[in-house]
Amino acid sequence: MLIKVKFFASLRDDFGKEAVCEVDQNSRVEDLFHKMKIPKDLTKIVLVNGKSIEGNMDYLLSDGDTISIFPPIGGG
Amino acid sequence: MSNSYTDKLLRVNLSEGTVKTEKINRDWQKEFIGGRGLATKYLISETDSKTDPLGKENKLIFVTGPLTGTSAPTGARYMVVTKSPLTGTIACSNSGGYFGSELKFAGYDMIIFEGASDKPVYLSIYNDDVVIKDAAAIWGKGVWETEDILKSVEGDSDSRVAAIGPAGENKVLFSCIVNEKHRAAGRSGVGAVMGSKKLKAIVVRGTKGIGVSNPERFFEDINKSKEILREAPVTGQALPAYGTAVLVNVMNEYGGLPSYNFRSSQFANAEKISGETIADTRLVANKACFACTIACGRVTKLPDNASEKYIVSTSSRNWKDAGGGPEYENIWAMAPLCGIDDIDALIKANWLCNDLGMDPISYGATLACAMELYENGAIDEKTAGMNLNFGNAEALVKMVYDTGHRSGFGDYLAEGSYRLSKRFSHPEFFMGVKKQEFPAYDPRAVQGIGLAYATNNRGADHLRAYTIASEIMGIPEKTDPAETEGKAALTKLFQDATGVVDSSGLCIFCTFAIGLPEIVPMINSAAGSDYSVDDALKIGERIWNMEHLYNLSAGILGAEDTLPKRILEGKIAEGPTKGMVNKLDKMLPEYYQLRGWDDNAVPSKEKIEELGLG
Repeated sequence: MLIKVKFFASLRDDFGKEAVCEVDQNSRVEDLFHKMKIPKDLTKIVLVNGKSIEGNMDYLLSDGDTISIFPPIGGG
Repeated sequence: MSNSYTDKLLRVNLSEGTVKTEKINRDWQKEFIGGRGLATKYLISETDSKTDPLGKENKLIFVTGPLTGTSAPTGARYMVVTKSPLTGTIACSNSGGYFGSELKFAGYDMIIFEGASDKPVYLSIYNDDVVIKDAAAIWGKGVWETEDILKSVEGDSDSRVAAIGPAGENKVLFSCIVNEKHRAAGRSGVGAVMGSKKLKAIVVRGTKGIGVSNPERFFEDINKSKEILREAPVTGQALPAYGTAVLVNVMNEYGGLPSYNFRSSQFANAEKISGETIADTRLVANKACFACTIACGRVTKLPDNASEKYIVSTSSRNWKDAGGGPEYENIWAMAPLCGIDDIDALIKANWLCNDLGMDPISYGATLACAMELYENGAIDEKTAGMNLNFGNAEALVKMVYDTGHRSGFGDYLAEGSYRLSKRFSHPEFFMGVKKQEFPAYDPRAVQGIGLAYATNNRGADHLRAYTIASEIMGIPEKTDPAETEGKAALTKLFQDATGVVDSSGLCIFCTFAIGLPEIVPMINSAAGSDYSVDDALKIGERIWNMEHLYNLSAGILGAEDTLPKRILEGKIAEGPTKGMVNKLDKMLPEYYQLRGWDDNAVPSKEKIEELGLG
């Protein structure tokens, strides 16, 4: 499956703006993080197609999904 | 015993041209800590809630908290409390920079302005030497030039200036008070109240310093907080690097970034005006307020070929230089909400707002409302003086100037979007609460912030209960933005806790890392008080109810604790939050119950007695 991965803020320093990652069928968010060597402790907000996975790294991915990954952020 | 209060206030009667020094009411200080709470108590005690906000009887109070001017991290804040000409509610606008601390150094916790001058004046403060001076030479000038002139005239480049620009002078209903050229007491039109009093500026220089009650404990307390702020990723890394603008992409990806006057909840070109793009292409440096370890402020510079791109009729020499901002809220209101993706027009419009002394949130939101009226045919090109289609960056810049000066169509915009939408027979295009425009989070996509907007004592606003911290960022704990359950309690807790932070003189941004368990000890060791966290929350609740009772007395009733029809019934059309509306009816009754209010938002006798507000 092909997954579009978008990075934001300081994560762009290491991963660029976006990438396409090929993962096996039935892969979880955790698997994608592992494959792309994304340190979990540097990320805070993970959205799949705009929906927060609310910390569930076992969330099952589908072909064509877009993942948006943010470090801890704040502001007003 | 020395403590961080000066225990003094200045009472300036602008009708009579007199200045008096008074002792602060110690009982009230204890009941409300200082800052927002204390000044509101003074305003309520000294004015009629039904008074004309722009009349002589309204008062304008500048106030600091016990941590303002100390080395407590983010202890820079001053607040301006008055009755709002935009909303008719209580107004309390909060600013950072260096003005508040300087006022403390001069020996004052608070200034109460009353009456109104016949001619333009400014207040000059050098420690005990306080004089009302003629401002004829600076009336009509922008904030930036006013500050430069006053520093030169007063002969002290270390003095600090808080001023209004032409917008405040012209009583634009969302004009603000700006200090250090780029920090502002921004919302609810406090600048118009200052303008109605013909008070152009306050220039202050203080050399007295501030004591604390228990120095050894105080430094232990503040060092602990500083360490937490340094280590926390948000306050130690994200805000210094990207400022608040980092939220543009977050909210857009989530589907909670309103665009085109809330007709959509995403913006296709968000990346072009995002915090990341600003950091990569326009940022000169970040900037800190007094005693701040975060330094979220932005200093940006336009490329040489862009500085004259949007010509406005101003003689200001500052447009080619670097300036403050833009912050997330300003970016959102003046770009996605208006369908605009031109970063340079946005930066220029933001600077113009600062120089004219105008709230960019309400300005951008009012322009977006005008654009919807225009595209709907309710306003034509002859009336507007130009094409007002969504996406018109030229209109964004030109209309800032026209609004601040109330020239042409800008005179209508200067009244805010509530009045504008009614004038052109489409009140449904007003996107706000209690006549004040929404900030940058779609309350359909984020349920709790909708309740926070609806119940806010100063009209639609995010800074009285920033539930986004929990619902989007997961601070202190993650809650689901789509859920209504638990949001009544969350909103109440944030409202009460924010009252404490505002009254202490700290910046609300410190709460991305520290909470009341760290803040209350700092207040105690500085001020000599012995509040517990529970005491502090009770004070926050007292402040909230006091403000609410003021609004009820002014005739702003529970029926106004609501959201526009577009938010309650107009489903988000597309994107990840497609189909969502705000379910206020599932949260509001529980919120009233938790507050001890009846169905009409009237506090019970028991609650009023419990809080000592009888």
